[in-house]
Amino acid sequence: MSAVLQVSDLAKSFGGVAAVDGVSFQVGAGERLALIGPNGAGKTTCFNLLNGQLRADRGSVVLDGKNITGRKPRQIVRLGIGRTFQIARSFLSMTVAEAVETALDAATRHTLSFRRAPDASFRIAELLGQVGLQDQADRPVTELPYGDVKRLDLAMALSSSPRLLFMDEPTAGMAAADRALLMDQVSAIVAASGLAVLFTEHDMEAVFGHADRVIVMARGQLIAEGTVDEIRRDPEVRRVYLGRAETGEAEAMPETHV
Amino acid sequence: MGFYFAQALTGLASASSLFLVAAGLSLIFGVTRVVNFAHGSLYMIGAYVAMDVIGLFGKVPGFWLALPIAALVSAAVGGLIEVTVLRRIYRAPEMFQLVATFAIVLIAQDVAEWIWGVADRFGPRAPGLSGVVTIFGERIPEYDLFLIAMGPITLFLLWLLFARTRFGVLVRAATQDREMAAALGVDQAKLFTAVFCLGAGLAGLGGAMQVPRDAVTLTMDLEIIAEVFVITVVGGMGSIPGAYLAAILISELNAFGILILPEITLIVAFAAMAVVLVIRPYGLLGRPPSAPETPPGPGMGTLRLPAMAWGGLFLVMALLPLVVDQFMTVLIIDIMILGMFAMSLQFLMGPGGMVSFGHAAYFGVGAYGAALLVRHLEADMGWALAVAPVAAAAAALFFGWFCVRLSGVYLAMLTLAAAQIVWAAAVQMQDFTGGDDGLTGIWPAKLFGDDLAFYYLALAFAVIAVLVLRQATRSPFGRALTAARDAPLRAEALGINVQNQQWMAFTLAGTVAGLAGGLYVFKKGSVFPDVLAIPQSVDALIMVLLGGVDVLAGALIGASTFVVLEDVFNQFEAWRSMLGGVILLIAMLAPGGMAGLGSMIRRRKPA
Repeated sequence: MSAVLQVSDLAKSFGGVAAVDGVSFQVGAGERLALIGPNGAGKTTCFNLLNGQLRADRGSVVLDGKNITGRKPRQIVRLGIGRTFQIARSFLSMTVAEAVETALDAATRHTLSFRRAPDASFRIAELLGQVGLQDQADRPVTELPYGDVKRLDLAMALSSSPRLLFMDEPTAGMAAADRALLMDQVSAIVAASGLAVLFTEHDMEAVFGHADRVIVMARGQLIAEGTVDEIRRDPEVRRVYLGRAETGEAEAMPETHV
Repeated sequence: MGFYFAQALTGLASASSLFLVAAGLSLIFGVTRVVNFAHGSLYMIGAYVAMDVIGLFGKVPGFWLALPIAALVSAAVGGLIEVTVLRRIYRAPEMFQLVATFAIVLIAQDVAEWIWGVADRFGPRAPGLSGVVTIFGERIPEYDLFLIAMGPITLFLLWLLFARTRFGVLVRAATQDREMAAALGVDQAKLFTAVFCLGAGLAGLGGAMQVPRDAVTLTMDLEIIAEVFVITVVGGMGSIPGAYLAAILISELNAFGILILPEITLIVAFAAMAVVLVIRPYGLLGRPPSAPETPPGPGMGTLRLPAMAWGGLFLVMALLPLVVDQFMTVLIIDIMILGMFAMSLQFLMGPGGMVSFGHAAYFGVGAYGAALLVRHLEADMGWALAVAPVAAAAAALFFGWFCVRLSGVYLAMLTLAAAQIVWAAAVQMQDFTGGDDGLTGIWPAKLFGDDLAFYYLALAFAVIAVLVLRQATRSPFGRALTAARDAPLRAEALGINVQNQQWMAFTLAGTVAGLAGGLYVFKKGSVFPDVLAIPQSVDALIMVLLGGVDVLAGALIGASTFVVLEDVFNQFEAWRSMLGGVILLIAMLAPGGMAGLGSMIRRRKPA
């Protein structure tokens, strides 16, 4: 499997505390890679290094052979990486369709234009259809339930047709049934478009049901990497998650984050 | 060597008064999040009260009684303002608070004039400190040494207050986390009033301390407020040690700047502020502000009148001069010119989400640009009107580059400082701009010499302004701008260059304001530095507030109301107070403005 994203020896310290300490991994084309770890493991810092919100102390991030280390968030987006937010932030003064249209304008570098782009309604409908919001197009964003705000966030992230998508806690704040639906939608998009997804997640059901591969962080370092089954049985991962070493027969990982 | 030392001491002496006033402003902002324009009024009141006390008790002990009494009176007035006005608008958007405190400035000016009269007053030297001491062969006024000592002493006393008393702990808690302090059971109402009194008292003391150095005048309120804004922004809003550092920095720059560039001292202060803010966006010792207080709602800033309504309005405007008399025609020309000015500010504030306290800068640059071209190059009206928006665009491009690096209150105060620079330049560059005498005799071309022709010219310009701003709001440009306002991180993560988007919007707003300014010159036949001054900027804010910030057409409603109100109130002596009263009423009763009243009612209905 060829790598879309190659992360090598990434590190970041805050006031002498290493939040991310020499992390290396890769994301393959069309792969759904989950990044998990207990609170404070450095997942969010790692994410913010990748999407350009933070500047790395050392290490490199290479997208499709192109070094993107140290680029600004908007430059990284333009190079083909979309992202969604843990706490979905949307354009609260707009309707659903307007928000997606704005995202499309941004993707096509039209944001200084005084003329509306040629009719984008087909593309808007297509994007909203992928996340199941096609019937909500004309609703004000403020009226959407939170799960749909997260779906809109996803539709906006997809508007630039990225090759790679970063999703920070895609199901955080959602009801259980709604989580499963969102993750199914993500998997369908991946299957249809060959998009690669890197996501962090607390909900182990989402991870084990929807990741092709899992990497585990603790105290700023990667401690395990493998398929869902391998990670489920990894004693080190179990120790980190449960706070004690367990031996003997591997039980299933806790269903939800402890 | 001795000379430079003396100059440095002069700077330090000036810093003390500024520090007291700035510390009060910063303290009030830190706890209540209100930028108190009326702080200059409290400073002025302190100075006048000090004069009265000295008059009553004689120089000795009058002067030494004057300091505490002035502080107490200002504190009492501050408390009164807090309880009667500010308490009602803490939850309103920043703009409303600012405009409301400016309304207090207007009322305070009338009251001060009524009590103390218009004549400037000159205080006596401080008893016991009227001599000079000789240091390094330079004569230093003893009073300057007293002032120099007062700065650190006040700083130390405030530190004691905040570090060692329960009140201080509460103030610090409220400054750092308002919600948390409230959750811990702090009585916010009492705390806010107390803080306001303390801040106001500091301003009053600062005013009293200036009495031996400067004349006491009715204009000292707005003169000091711009400088104090610069100091609080440079020091970091809410930081008292920061205010002290910044007061010294700015005063020393002024003291030495006057030696190098005597004509443009304010530019030195601005340059310093710009440098500090580019390196440290929240000032020397400030912290990033917490999230914006008023989340955007549906359509905020971008509600649109349908094209039909605009068409109808245009028809009415085109036919109106045929039925109204000449007086009304002239009045409507004023409305259209100020309406363009207000619409440009609405665009900046609504879709752009940037509140400007200094939008007059671009109106004024347009006006001066046109007038200077006529005066110095004998250009005709066509050229002058073409240059006005271009000149304003250039100014907005320059100042906007700095302003968009900030947000919220910081951005607003930087726009005010920028406007003060342009104002100072217009006043100080006498040979070029005519200084306070302005430029006169700038009459329109013959064709537009009569009111009716000028009316249609103004209408044509207003139509252009509406079309441009309306298109800007609904185009991808305006959408991306609104996106940047609603959720900057999300916008940036979609590839939108947020600062660039805001910079271009700032420039566009400035350009349209300049267009209005150019027209204004030919309407009046003259231009004075007033068009660049703070009241002109606040007028535009008031118009936007009157009409409602959500919709472009609101600015026109606001401008109409404002011009008519001003025309009616102008017949009375206390017109400023009356205007101030109306503004206060609107800010307290209809925070959505008149155009917002409709949507307020609609929003209350269940969905």
